[in-house]
Amino acid sequence: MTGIWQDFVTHQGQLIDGLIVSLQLAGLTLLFGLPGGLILAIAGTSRTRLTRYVAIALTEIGRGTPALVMLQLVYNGIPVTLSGLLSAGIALALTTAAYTSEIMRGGLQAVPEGEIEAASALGMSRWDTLRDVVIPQGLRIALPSLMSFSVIMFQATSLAFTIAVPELMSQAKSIANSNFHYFNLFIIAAVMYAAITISASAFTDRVERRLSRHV
Amino acid sequence: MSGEVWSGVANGILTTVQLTVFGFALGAVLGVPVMLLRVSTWRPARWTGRAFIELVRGVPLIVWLFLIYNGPTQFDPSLGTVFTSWRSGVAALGLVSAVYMAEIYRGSLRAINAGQWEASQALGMSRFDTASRIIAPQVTRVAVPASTTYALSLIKDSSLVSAIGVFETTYYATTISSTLSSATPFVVAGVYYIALTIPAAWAARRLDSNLRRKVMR
Amino acid sequence: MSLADAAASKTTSAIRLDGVEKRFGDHLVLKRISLEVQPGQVVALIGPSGAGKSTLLRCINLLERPTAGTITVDGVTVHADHEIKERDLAALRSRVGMVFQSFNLFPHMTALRNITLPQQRVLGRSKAEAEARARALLSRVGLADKADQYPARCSGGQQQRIAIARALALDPKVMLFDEPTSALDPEVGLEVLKVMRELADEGMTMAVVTHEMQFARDVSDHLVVMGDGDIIEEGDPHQIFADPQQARTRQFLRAVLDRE
Repeated sequence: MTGIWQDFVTHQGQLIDGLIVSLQLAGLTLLFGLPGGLILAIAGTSRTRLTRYVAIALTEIGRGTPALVMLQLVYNGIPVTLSGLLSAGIALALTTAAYTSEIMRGGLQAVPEGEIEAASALGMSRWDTLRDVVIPQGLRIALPSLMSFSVIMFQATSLAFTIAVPELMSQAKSIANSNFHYFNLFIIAAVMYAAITISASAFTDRVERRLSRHV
Repeated sequence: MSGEVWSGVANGILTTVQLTVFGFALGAVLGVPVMLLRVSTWRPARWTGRAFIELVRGVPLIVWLFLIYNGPTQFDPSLGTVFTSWRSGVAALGLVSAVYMAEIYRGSLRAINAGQWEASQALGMSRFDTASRIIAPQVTRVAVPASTTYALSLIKDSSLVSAIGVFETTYYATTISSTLSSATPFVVAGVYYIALTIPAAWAARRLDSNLRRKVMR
Repeated sequence: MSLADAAASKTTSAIRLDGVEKRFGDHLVLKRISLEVQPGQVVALIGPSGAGKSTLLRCINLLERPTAGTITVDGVTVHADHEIKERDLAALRSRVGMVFQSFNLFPHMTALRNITLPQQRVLGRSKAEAEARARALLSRVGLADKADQYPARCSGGQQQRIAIARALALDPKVMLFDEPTSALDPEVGLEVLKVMRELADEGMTMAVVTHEMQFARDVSDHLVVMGDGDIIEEGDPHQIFADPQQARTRQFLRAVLDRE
């Protein structure tokens, strides 16, 4: 145990920098991914068949492709040279968009039909109904699931070490490769990830309980 | 896209399937004791179960993989021959699956009417008989859809095992990609993963509807 | 329909239905119904459930698309067999207010916002203008103090009165009520019926699908009895209640009045 603590103290600067990069990457992922998911969700309920099919196809491809493969695909496949961080952000955002679109679609469809009918009887346009009535409520319904999924995506940022993004896993690995304290360093990384995800999950549970009390 | 890329990446498909099957099987079995801990009426057991689930889920799979694969060599480099990349991969997938399966079992258990316990006990059945003859078959039945969904996602999660050098689909894609300096092998890998999930999803739906029919009868 | 016809219908009737038919697959829900409502008239639609009353009402503002026939509201005509243009639909709906059995207020908005939002979106009113109108209407339905409450904090009767205010805020020429008190306890329903009666007294054109026989008899000017997707009988409410001409009307009235 003292060995683990010793390794943490010695390398804390590098490890905490790594964690910050992980959090930044998660932020980037959600910043692009959640709006993308909303667009796919809305397109998936479109009345135009082509739009609907394209949205469903994109969702299925995004969900069917492992995040790791997506990461490599974006990193190696985009002809423009992007930084590792940006490539990872885009790749994980694509995965996020595909998964969250399903969650959001469920939320949007849970908005009672009667309210949509009322908006339409009032003469509100489809777009206004979507913006003012369906989206605010649908996202509220989907919020707890979106938060849980965000925690999963934070974990998925650890895959970015494969394209040399200096995030937590990457730092732990490079330290371990130099001092051979593999066990110590991976335990430290595990604890750091767990600290973030477990507290985020606890927060999600609280939000969920609050929301269910008010609805 | 040359045929060689398609056939090259395809070399990993069987291993991907094996990893998924073994990982899932391990998880489905280990999930039972984890679930039993989690629902125990004895508080320390329940907390242990809960802490275990939170901890395993709170750490990314990739960290578990490296911890199991590389961790032991810190103490004795020769342990590397025990914790081979294949065994470590299956162990990590099994570990993560165990806690997910435990939660799926727990959810299914809750879905079963408490009246079933009472009815069996009123009939004079022992707790063990009630659990094994009455409750377990129903839990299994209720758990099928969620379990198959999880198994399908495990196909994709197994791709991470490429990072510790198991020769599965993503591993081949990575190697071929760096030889050819092309992203095409990853497109191919993506197609294979999607292709794998489609028949698996179909089989899962059939299993579910067969069971449904059996229960209805 | 020629321009002259349109002008004529505008002067003579607020709502005019010609041969309105609705089918769901093989099932004929409305059998070529024709009906006219004069400006200021209150029409009550009664009849057993499944008679097609609600479907007919919902055809008037095209929440339900009729499969045949013509609908004219305040001079705007829509033909079922032509494609309905978005512009005609908006024009028609802006002339018609609707009140639902289940209120259908937007639960994530305050009472005030429920009433101001459609005014801003549909009529392009300013926020201040919309708010002034909303507050005036809320006090008219006796709920001035509920402006900042969310629907979930209001009783069913209060929610329904807010829904009426929301519809009135768009200055409709015609108001449709689809069983507005069916989801309410009888004594709570009375406060809603009171608001509707005041509205009728002020000269609003109304079409009301209802199970409230007293309201149908005492408030409406014209009674329509429906059964099996058709109009069985229509005319003066008092006369029909006192002396129904059709056997099925008699049967229906006896059944509901006995229950009351």
